Amino acid sequence: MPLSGNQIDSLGKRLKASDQVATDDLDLLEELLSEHAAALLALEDRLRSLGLSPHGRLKTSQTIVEKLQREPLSLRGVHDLAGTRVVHKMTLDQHTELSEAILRVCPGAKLLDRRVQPSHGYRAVHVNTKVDDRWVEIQLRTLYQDTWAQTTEWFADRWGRQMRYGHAPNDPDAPFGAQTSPPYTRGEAWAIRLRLSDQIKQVEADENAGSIDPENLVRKAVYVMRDALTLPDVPTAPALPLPSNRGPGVLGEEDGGTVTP
Amino acid sequence: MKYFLLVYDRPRGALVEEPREFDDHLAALRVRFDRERNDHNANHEIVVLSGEDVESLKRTHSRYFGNQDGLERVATGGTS
Repeated sequence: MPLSGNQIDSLGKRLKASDQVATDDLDLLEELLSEHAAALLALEDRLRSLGLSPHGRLKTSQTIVEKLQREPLSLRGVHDLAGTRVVHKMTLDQHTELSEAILRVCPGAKLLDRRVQPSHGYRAVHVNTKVDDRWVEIQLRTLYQDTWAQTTEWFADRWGRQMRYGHAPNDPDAPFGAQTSPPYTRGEAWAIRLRLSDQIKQVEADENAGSIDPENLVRKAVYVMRDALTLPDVPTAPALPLPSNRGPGVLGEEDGGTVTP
Repeated sequence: MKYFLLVYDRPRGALVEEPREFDDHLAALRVRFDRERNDHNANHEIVVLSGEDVESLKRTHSRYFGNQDGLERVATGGTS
């Protein structure tokens, strides 16, 4: 028997208020996550039917509690307990078409276009959909967007996870490394990363318009980042089974990035 | 489809141990839940990822597999 809405709400309130999660509550949270696991697998089957290779995960118990304590959310309001990610080399138009194809196989899904509405430099398209009454989040990223996001998360792991939410790194005046010239502080390096997000946005817009410059410094920087972290190449977006009926443009442009079909 | 249990040390930016592979998602989750309860290091992130193999995970979850030596170049956009 799935957990009821009341059970989930009560659990969320206890997690929000707890310094140490009680064993009974951990049992319930794990039960809830197992229900989301089933929803995640079912959704990934749908995405594979589009020729995609999703990679999913369930949020850790610790990050669920941290999110509840950080944000004015109920546990039922946390829509990324289960999430899956798709990354492809693609233009912004292809990115939009892929989002639309996913909306077609996920009736009732909600789309959040973080290309229109970035979150502290983070750009992507997110689709949140319910499967068997459990929310699952799909993150769709271009190679550029993913490279920025992955490397930024890596620094947030080391310098403080508050950086994900727009706050300065721990010890921002500390030199972050000895090998740069001129030497950067952590705070300066972080500011550079935020500017890089804007620069990547421009490169994506230019390439979408057909202006691909292999010598563009920002484009080169993305590939240098991937090399530095030894990130593998990602495939180009697959040909989609259903044609798009929309003209050029960006989903959600008119309403701040949120679309509910 | 396979499922991989990863134990990642956030401040070190590195995996604590080799990814452990499972054929069954719920079996992998049970081990994850058990590890979460018994690993009291708050810096550890214990996660199960789905994918064809470990290499494919690096395409979408590369931060778990980052190369320490590239740190300085990455932070400044690779242009330093």
